[in-house]
Amino acid sequence: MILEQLVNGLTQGAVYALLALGFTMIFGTLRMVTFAHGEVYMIGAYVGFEVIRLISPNFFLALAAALAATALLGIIIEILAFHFLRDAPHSTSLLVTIGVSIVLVNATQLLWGPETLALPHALLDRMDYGEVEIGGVYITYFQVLVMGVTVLLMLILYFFINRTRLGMVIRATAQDYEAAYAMGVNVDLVFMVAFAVGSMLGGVAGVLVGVYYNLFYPTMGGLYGLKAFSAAVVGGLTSLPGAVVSGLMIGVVETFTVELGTSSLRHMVSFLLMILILIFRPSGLFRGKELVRVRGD
Amino acid sequence: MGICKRSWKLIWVFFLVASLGLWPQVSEAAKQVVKVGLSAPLTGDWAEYGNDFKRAVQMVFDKVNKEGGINSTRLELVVLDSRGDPKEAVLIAEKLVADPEVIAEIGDFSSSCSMAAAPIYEAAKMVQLSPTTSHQDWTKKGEYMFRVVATQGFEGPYNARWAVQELKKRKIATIYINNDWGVDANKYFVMEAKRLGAEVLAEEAFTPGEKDFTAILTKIKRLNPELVYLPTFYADAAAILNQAKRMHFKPVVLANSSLFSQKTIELGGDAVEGILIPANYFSTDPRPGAQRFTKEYRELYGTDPNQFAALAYDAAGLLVEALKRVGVDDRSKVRQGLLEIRGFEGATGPITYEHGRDPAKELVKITIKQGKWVLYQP
Amino acid sequence: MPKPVRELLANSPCLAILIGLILVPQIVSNLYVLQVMSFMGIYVMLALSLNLLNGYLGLLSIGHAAFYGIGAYSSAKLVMEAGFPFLAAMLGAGAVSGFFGYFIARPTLRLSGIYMTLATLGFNMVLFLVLQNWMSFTNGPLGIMNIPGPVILGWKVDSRADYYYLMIILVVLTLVSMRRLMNSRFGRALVAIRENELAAEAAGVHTTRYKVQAFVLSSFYAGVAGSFYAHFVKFISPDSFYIYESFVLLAMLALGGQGNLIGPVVGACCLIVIPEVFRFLQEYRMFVYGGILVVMMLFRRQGILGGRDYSLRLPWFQEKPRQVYLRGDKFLPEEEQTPSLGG
Repeated sequence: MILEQLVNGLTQGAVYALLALGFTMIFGTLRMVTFAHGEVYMIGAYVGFEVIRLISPNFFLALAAALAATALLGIIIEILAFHFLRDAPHSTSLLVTIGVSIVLVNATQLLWGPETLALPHALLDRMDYGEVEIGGVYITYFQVLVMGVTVLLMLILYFFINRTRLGMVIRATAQDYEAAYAMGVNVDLVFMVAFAVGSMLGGVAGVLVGVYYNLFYPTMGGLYGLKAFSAAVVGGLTSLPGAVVSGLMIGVVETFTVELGTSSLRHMVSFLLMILILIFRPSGLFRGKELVRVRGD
Repeated sequence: MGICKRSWKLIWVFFLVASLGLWPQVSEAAKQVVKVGLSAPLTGDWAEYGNDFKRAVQMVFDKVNKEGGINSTRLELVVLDSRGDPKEAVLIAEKLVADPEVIAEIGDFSSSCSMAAAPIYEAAKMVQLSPTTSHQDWTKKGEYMFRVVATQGFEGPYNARWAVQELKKRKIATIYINNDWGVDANKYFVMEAKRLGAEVLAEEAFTPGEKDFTAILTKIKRLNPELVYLPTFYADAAAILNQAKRMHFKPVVLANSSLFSQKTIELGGDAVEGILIPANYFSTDPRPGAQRFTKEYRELYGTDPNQFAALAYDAAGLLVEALKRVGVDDRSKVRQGLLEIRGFEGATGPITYEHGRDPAKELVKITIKQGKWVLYQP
Repeated sequence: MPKPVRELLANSPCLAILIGLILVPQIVSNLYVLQVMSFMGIYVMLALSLNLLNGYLGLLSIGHAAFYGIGAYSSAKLVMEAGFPFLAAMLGAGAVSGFFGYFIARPTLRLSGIYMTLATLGFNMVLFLVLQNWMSFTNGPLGIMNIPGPVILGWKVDSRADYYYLMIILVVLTLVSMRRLMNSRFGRALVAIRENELAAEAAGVHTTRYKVQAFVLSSFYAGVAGSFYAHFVKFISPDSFYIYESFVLLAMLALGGQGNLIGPVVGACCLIVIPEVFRFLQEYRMFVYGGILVVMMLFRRQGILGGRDYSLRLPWFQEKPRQVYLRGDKFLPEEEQTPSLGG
């Protein structure tokens, strides 16, 4: 029972982690909270859906298409909500992202209709990657894929940020964009890249979740977006490994809340965790060091 | 700065025009048209069901208008989006009530919206005819509330008797959607099942919008129930059963009439095979009312209707019938018209309001066999 | 001219507007208009209360609907179960909500603003889920119904016009009390904190205490608005206090402008009227709404009224206008760019 619920929790947590990674990437670099992240995730899912349905039932093709679409969307949001509003107070950018998220949900509803869509089961069967049984617990390869992709992406991202030149530039910009600008960094481009990368992580999550549950509907980003938010906060908002660990942790904690208590408490636990972390350990669970100085709040 | 100034002026003009629009418009062809309001969620979480309402009601009205209207008066549908928010439903009610041309209202979809708006319709003596509001107390809030669907106080015990007495299942677990409808649906089922001597092993609620049920299912699987009851909507039920299938958990599943839709099969694939539900309406229903509706809907929209569309179709049909009896001049008379109807052949079976404004419904037991909804045979 | 007469004359535009509003139920027979205006009143109160934080103090609360909800539920509970009279319940609702405000603000306000912002978001979600799941107390998603209408000292508020008048009284009280507050030491301290927290602290302003006080006050007003809502609609359910409602309030401030008393009023009125007007657009309506947010923020982010306080006093009694800028506002015309405190 423990193993089974652990697998459930980790799968669910992997999705939170992916979304939280995107949040963290964006907040860490731009110091901006985006509310459109859940909707970016939703668009990613729908793009993946269309590719699988119309072009070919190939998971990786869908992923590539969703990545391209969400990167583009991320750039558009960055231009609207951040590029034009660099000197504006925090609330302004936040409100733009709220506006964008409302527009995106309703645009999706008009384009694809309000009803829940699913891939035909014949197509899904062709994509079936099988399952393994470990002591009565069935783990589908897709679950393994979801978790694997999350960890892999975190590693790639970690490497990208800490070991590559562009990563160094991003870190420098995040620390002090004026100084970076003075050093000849194209700050605008860096912000755009960071936002695009963050959004792409949302897109990956969208395709993974969409195909895993095989349900696509316009409001699918709402609850997940907020959950990922709490995961990002618990992880400390600026730490990539923190986001992943806390995402997975929230997934597991939720699952065990259902197992040991009752299912209706599940979401409350993660938001309570978020508030408690903010109150008692605002730097996140996994950072003992001082607060990151938050600029422009 | 230039752009700013100009956009500012544009915004002002926009607001001026907008504020003019708030005042109720007076229609020129006042005599030949009578309006019926439809309050339904067209955006937000329940948007797809609101759209079912809109299509079905529009279909009935178009047909009536093509046949010359009611006493040569055309019916006009005023669709207003409530977004599933009680506050919006209140404003809609006030708007409809204030317009003297509106004769009656159809809707809302959710119980909380209908409940919040009820006092306003009651005060204005306007009929509030809801296809789907199943909250027990709603029709007790006044004299002008009518519903088409069976209440959960009726459907829940019906399902419980089916599960315990007919199917002889003694160990039951339920998974329900935590909204105004799901809580009631679960409550009445569990009450009756317990009374009949069944053991309810678990009652698990999930928040609307949640799509991961693996944790709940793992827990329930271990309890090993003989039957799982699912008071949910179809997307949730399909998700639950798909995830159960992945765990190699195949219980006997009983659910609510809300599941009747082609979508259940489309979303659920072979995971929903064998699921049992009571239906107000189903598309291969041999009853003439249902047959007629299925045919009309298919011709117009090219797909099979679901239960919500059928209920809305009946609501519209009942209203037309009532208006034919009492005319279209006085909204307070519509109530009498509805009460007088006998033997209305609806898509969801015969409906009369002879014994109160909660109609007695005959439910049909159906199941999914080889990817099709068919009559259940024990 | 004696001072009271002078004051009366100076404020005559305000009085004219007030008299106009009082006359509305006599002129307009359409109850729908009254209903919409009463809702406007609720949102004017909410927007003003949020303005205290987001506008004057320069913090950003994005979960304000939580306090509104606490007010609604506690008022309903106080009247229906503890047998409180309406006025006491309304104040009680404000107090309960203020208490929760303190509970959130006290620990988070020590930190940088973004943490408080996130905490308000989390609190809104937790509150929604508590309302949704605590069946025995809140009746869960079924909501509380048949909430009695207000009775104030023998005045039984019953008709739409009665509610409308009660709303006007509440809005006027809110506006007057806020105006006095903002012109007091307290209000100036808030603006000083917004403009430059360090300088304010150096000048002897106890910043954390003022912030917490502002937060509690803001929650109090929201709670009172919630109380009115509960007894007005007579049915409350958790759906009305979801995070979405908080966003609506933010949009109102964005549209009307914040940091003054007129902007939130204008914003609230517009955002109640616009969806009503566009109701016929059905599913396209929300587009307009989201679009307004984006466009306003991009092209006129200080709101329609441009972030300055329009005094409604007659011009020849005009005091010297007090400019209130939002920090980092680059859209201000050149000649108005004055260095801010300590800058």
